[in-house]
Amino acid sequence: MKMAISAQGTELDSMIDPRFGRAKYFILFDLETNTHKSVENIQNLNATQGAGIQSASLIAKEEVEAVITGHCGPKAFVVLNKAKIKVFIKDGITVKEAISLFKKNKIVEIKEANVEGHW
Amino acid sequence: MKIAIASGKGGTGKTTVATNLAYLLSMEYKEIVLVDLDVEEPNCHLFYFYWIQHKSGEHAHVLVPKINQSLCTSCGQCVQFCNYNALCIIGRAPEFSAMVFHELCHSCGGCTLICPNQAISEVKRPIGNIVSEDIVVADGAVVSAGAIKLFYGLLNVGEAKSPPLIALVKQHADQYNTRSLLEISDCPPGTSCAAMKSIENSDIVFLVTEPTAFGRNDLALAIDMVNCLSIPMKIIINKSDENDDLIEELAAQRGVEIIAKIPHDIEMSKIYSSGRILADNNTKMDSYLSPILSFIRKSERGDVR
Repeated sequence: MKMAISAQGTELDSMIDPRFGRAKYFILFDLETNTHKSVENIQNLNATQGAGIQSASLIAKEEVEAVITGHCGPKAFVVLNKAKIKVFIKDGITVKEAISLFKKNKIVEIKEANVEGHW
Repeated sequence: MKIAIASGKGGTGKTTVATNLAYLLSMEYKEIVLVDLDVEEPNCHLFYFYWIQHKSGEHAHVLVPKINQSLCTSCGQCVQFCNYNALCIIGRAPEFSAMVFHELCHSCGGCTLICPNQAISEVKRPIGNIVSEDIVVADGAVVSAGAIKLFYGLLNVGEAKSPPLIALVKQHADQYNTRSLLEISDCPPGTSCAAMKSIENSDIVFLVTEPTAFGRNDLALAIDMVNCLSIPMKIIINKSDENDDLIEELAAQRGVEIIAKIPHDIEMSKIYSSGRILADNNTKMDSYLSPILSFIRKSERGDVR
């Protein structure tokens, strides 16, 4: 299973980016092979609007099944939901720590957006 | 002649100037048009409450895309084209879903044109209402002293973008005003798209300001905006007091004339707050506005441009 984590850098030691739509990077992690790669999200970071929608679309193309991020707004959530990507909320720790918590089922899945748009 | 009443800072007195000018000019020119373009909170109509003869309204719409998924091949050209991220395709044909976020759409119609499979059509989305009122003002004992045709827009609550409705209200006013009647627009504050859309195509902009640091700062921004649109402008100082030099200095620097001053006066504030026209209630409003009235007279005669 592949998952995406919104991150402030490109490495597993990078902190989670609290923003989903305007995250600096997404780290794509493969739970079977324990390998990762990062994708830059600069285009959506600088978007005038609709950043959440396009970020969701970007990680959907990578065929991930789950995402860990700090906050998720309503439009991004609708798209992630449509792409059958589960949304998990965690902030203030590194990507590596988040993955390890995720493996232990210690991160909460949300069933609706946890912030308003443009929070 | 089209006159725009605008300001950088909000609450400086645009509506005070617009409603009183409209009142005085309607008597001088028999009939004028007043357009309230502050579609998020229009309030000009409140000041003519007792004089409204007829009121009508209609819904205002913008066009937004609708994707027919049975014709869509998920090629993604529309998503690529859209500058506003209003479209999104999840998955690939045959298993995909094409999504449209109407609130992000700017109604450019580009996606409809670019779709190679004619899968996108345009549908109407309501954004608010356009109201028109026939107002016949009284001047003391003279009951039908002048007529004002008022147009205003009412943006639906929660709607993020006001310029499309502003454009539609202006279009309505244009369709009505085929006789080149004097037209006054009360514009929204600020220097954003809404303010620029409102001022567009005016012959003159009167920037209403107040002698405060905020007033000066936002006036400077507003002057820059009007310059961008290459429209002549003049300044009106409302709530004029001993700090007028704040504005006078900036006006001199930028070479913009201060055409009128309206003093800071508690009695006038009380009359305004009770929803009445100052020029109809024993204030000196007509004399404060008289330099503007003479400017308009001269312009209408073609003496100045």
